[in-house]
Amino acid sequence: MIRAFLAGLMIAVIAPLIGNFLVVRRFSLIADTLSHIALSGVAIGLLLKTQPLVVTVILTVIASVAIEKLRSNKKISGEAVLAMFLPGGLALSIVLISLVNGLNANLFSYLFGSITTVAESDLWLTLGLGILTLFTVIFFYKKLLFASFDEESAKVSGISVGFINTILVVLTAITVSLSMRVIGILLIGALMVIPVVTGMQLGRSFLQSIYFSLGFALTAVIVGLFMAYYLNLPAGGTIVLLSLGIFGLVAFFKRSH
Amino acid sequence: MKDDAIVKISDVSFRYNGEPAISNINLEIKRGEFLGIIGPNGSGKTTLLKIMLGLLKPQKGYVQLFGQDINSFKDWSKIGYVPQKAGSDVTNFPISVEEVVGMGGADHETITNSLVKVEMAEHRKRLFRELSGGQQQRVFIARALAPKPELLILDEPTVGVDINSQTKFYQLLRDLNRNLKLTLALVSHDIDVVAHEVGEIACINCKLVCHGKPKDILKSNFMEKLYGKELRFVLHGH
Repeated sequence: MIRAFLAGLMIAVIAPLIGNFLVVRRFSLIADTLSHIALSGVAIGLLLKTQPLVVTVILTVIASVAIEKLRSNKKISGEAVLAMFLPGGLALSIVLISLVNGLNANLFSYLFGSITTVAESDLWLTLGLGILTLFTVIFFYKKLLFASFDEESAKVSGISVGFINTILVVLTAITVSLSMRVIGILLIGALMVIPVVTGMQLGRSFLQSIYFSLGFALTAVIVGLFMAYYLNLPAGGTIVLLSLGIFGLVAFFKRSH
Repeated sequence: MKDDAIVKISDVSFRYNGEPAISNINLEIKRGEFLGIIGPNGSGKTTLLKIMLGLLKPQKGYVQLFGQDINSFKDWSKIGYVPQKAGSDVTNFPISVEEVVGMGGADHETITNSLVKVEMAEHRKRLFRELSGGQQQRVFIARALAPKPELLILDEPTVGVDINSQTKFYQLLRDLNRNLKLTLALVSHDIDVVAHEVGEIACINCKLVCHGKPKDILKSNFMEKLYGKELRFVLHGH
């Protein structure tokens, strides 16, 4: 539980942090696309009897760079690129899972998240890569913001937009991979979007929206993990339902004021 | 190259999928000038602007910025760019005015000074999406002014801006040109308005049709070449 809690806190910080940049770019579907590719990484890890998280990080990072390359050459729209990679990742997963003798309990925990399966090595990798993600965003914050708001003007101001966009998709890939243990592959996209959209209802600036989204994600993860532990509920589903509940409350509060 | 030419476009051509967008264009922008680049829709104005900004590479010819070949030019802070609108959908972007001005790396004091220059300082905490079209353009100018550029390039800056705001907007540009000695290049399809605001006009219709003082060009038959014989000017004052 302690390991899941610490990993959950790290994810509650980095998932909405990255999610804010994806949502304003209308590119949030990349989280779902990469999560389907992450499933292939888990299957490869189980097939090779190696640590699935490491394989997943490598596979999703490679896929994210490929997605960005295809999107940035403008010959295929970003939406179409994601529409190709999402079923592609799922198809590869299905084939690989059939080779590992179908769905077992371990694979099931990756799909929907579990608080009992976070190994010590998973925790250290999550904390290490999570902190790296956090500091990368802080370091490149203004450039990420400029490239998200106005790509052309960012280029004219001398920013290497291609490099910044690649950083964003790689950080997304890392976040998706790290989140699958606690939140689950099928639900991580929700944690990168729902607290962000909720924060945007209240934020009077982009930074304020980020702070709100972090607050909402941390609340959902902390309360969700306690509920999952004491009520024996699946962690990912509980956290996502709580995030939706917070969104509903904020939307109601906004409407009534 | 003369010392006072800060942009030199030499024999530049560009084709989209084999179709010429601009052909053999030669043009100089001199220090302190307020140049209007005009032409009908699809005439290649925006293509020329993108080549000047290094966003497109010409297939023929070359561009020099501040005496340097554009391919080796690094000092982009000398050039401020004011786009027609933000690249993203601003209605879903919760960004404040001061964040827009500061996104290029400007500090608090520079943001304040830039907003004061465009008379938008009192709006710094407001959401960008809540501003009118004219106010948003002023914020883009403030962002472009933050790194203290020597040349400001504006792409159709008054599209979607009401006529009163346009008048104030052009007054602001004239002030920047005169008081801050900023060189301005403005791309527009609105010959009528631009001709009364700028010091020089370059008319583009795939080729450079004319280049000179607005009064000389309006008197000549260049406008017929540019817009066709049916063109009739209805001049409105500003």
